[in-house]
Amino acid sequence: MKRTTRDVLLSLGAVAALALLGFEGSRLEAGRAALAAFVPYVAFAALLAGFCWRVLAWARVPVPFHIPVSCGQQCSLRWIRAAKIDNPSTRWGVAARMAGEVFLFRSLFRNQRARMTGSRLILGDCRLLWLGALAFHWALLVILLRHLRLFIEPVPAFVNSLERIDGVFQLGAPPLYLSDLILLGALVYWAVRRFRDPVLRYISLSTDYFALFLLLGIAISGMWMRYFARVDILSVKEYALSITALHPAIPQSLGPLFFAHLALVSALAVYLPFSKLMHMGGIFLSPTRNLANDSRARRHVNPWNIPVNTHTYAEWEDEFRDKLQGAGIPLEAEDAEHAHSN
Amino acid sequence: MPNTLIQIEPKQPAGDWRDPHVEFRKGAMCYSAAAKNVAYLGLPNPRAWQPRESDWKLPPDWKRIILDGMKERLRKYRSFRLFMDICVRCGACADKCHFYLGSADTKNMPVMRAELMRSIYRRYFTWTGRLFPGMAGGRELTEDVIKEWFYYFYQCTECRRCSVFCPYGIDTAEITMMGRELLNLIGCNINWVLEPAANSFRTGNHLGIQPHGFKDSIDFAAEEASEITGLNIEVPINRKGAEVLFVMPSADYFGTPHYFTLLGYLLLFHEIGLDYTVSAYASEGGNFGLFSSHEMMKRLNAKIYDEARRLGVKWILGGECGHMWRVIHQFMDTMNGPAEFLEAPVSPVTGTVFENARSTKMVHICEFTADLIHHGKIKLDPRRNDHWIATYHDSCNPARAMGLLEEPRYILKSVCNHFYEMPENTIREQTFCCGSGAGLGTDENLEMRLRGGYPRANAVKHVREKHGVNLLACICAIDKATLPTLMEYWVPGVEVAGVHELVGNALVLTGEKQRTNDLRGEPLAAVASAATAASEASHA
Amino acid sequence: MNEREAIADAVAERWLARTIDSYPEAARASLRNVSDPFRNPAGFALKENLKALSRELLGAMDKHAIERAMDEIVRLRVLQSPGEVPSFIGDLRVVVAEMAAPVAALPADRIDVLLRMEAEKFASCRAQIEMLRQKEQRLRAQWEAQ
Repeated sequence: MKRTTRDVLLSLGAVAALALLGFEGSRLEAGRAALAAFVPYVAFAALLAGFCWRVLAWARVPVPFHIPVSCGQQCSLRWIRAAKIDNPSTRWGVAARMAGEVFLFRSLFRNQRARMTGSRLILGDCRLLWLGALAFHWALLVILLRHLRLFIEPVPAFVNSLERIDGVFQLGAPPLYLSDLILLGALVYWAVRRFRDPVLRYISLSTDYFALFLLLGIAISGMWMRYFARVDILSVKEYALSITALHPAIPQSLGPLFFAHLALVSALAVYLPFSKLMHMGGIFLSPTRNLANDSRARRHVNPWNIPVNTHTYAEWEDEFRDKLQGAGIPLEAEDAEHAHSN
Repeated sequence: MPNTLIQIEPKQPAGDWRDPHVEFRKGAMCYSAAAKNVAYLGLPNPRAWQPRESDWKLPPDWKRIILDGMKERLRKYRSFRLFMDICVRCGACADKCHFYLGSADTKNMPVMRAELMRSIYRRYFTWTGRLFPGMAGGRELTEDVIKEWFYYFYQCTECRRCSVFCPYGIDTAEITMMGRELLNLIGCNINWVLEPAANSFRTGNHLGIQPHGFKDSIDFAAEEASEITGLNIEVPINRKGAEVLFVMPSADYFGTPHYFTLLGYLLLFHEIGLDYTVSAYASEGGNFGLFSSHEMMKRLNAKIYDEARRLGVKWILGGECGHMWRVIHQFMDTMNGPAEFLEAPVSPVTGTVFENARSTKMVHICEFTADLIHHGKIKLDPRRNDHWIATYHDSCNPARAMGLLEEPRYILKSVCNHFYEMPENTIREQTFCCGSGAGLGTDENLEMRLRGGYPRANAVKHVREKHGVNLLACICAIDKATLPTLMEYWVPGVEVAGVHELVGNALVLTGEKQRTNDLRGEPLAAVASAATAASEASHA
Repeated sequence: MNEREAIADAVAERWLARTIDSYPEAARASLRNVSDPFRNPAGFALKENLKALSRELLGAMDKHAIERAMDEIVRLRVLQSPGEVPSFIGDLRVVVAEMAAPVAALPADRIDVLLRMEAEKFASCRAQIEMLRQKEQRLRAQWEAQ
């Protein structure tokens, strides 16, 4: 079997198994209790602890050398305009650069220029990647914020506004959320891209497929609950509020689909700290992006700066003294005795 | 007539990059370091060996050494640890490396080059990798993996182009540096890095030129500069009490076309009456230690500050060199500083305080000269460069470690009437490497260099065809050494020159005699056309 | 574009596909992305020059045009694998055989001419690489003699 096929089947199988665990497990009383009252706490704790542990593990390691990657003009002479964000020389510049990366995925945007031929706009593959990545992450943020409706009573005003904007087209009942559509679309684009592009097939690991399938599983199960199964939101809210209050109460009306969704989300929470999904924390610590390019203006200290063996001037002069004399180059010490007495 | 030559493709892993098999073919590998160089520098396992042999004579506990070495560096370098963890395999970097674009070798994709290291990291340093190596992308560390590392980490010029496009800035140069450091621990290094390093350690410069040789070269250049201008140009060596210590790459006083850049420096310094000295001890601005290990870099760089202190200068001026400036700008102060015995650099001619260099106390000559030109302190006649139709190649390190982009352009546009830029996505921070940096600029891997330099050459070809460009200007000594070969193969008819060669051409020195030739001895365009007009008139 | 050019372009398209297929699988996708000549110089050069050669093959067989296109392709291919190198004109013969008239009806000696020019070009590029290598070695010897 080809490597890609094997990897895809393995990861798909793993996700399916997790979903099934939730789906079927909820049919048993013990399973239901475990899934609803135990697993989420463990998962959340794992997420919190794991995330902190990973970030701390990175943060504890020093940054010995000042190695930002500069894009654009440096800040040097006053009359040359510097690229204050792409090549920042101040902390504010770095903050702006980081914001550009985190909110707009600036580096991913840097790929091939989009070109107009006639009236057609040609987006290179990597601009599409940028668009897909941006769409996914923002849609995910909106969805996460909307889920606050389930955990907070009364529902905060901004969540209501968000839902209004999200469902602005008022399509269907319950109204179709744009964020749902965008999230699904972006995930499908990513999956298709990873399967179809031979370069990506070559470099992908089974964990890459697993992450995608997991997210797709969560998205699909969540959307199915909202648009097709029409799950009872009040029951879900009752449950959510109860686990936040550390007094889990599991309404009977919560069906297996809900538990599948819950199982997948819990799996994601546990998986995240051990995976590449930690890039969300890592980016802030990347020395090529989070340092100002003021390397010659301010001294960066290496905490473990170790002394090294060099060839000193005295040793050099010793070795080449006669050549130096012959060439008439001034010496520190006219002869070896003077050198050693200095 | 045979219609198909037998197809022998290099053996590719059957769809699985984890197979480490590589074939060391002529033209795509560098010779191993000579034992004497390894021993002189105090590095482990000096011995006679070559990559094409099957037995690399590694120390018996090589595996433990490598893994311990990784563990140590994971503790000491946040970049290493982070870059091992956060790659999401989005593929944005894949087609950005010049070696990949020229060779179609998939392991030259930056993501794959990193995976060569990451796969070992996962297997030995992560829980998922220890428990499920196959699924998590881990693999066993075998001798074949070491060979593969040697092959690919000496096929990266540490140009950092990939890092520009990565959403997190994952820097393959960092990973390559770690890889080379680890390989050093078991004695796998290349001669083209270690021999210059050993030379530089001993004599102060990569070429191993001893003080009298240095003086001869400098005096020769001073004499030629005097002859060209009819003035008396002298270059002090090891002069105490000078205001500025000038440090340049050794190729500037020994190589072509670097030598013409040197003439340019000398003319400029003479014209502005710069109170400077060069040093026979700090006779190398470049630092091949950068291509070996952080420790080697620090050892070789110490001499610059030491000499500045000994000579009692106020600040340091650096010449046109690429990797030298990566070291000066990002490492020197940290490694060899603080340079409290120096002052914040101030141009003695314009009074400009170089704020951006106030800690390291070292200024790039393009910053210095651009400042002079901006203040109108030197007289220039750009018509003297009319025979050149120039374009500018941003060298990797000034572009991506500093952002020194506009200063050389400003100078070029002031000394050249004909200047054209190459396409946007091949210059500035997106510049394509020459394919020969980081110790790879040797003749035994010429085919690899020509492949790696193809994207850059292709862009030059474009401006040659479109605008008749016949000169590629750059500010890197390795570029000047290797771009001529690249041009001769891909874009014949394009010469290579330093920015300060063109400055030297255009500079109108006070009291100089009439210039009829450029610094290369070629007749100036104005002179040539005047001569043609004169001979036509005499024939009429 | 007249009919002959259209047919030539069809030949070039198939020829390009075959040539790209001779590269490793993971490299093919990058090579196929031929819209930007600077982001993918190898693929772009291949596409443009195979097109030019096809047009000459079905057209005037202009020596200069063939020489130029051949040079651009061979110059890169000769670097790919030192030693035996696949003949891309060989691929052309296969493509021509697969297509219907008027392509299949082409005189066979036209392809023989291209094959000969390809072999000559390989030889001259290799010779140039050797010459450049020796030049660099001489320079290095000069430095080391100091």
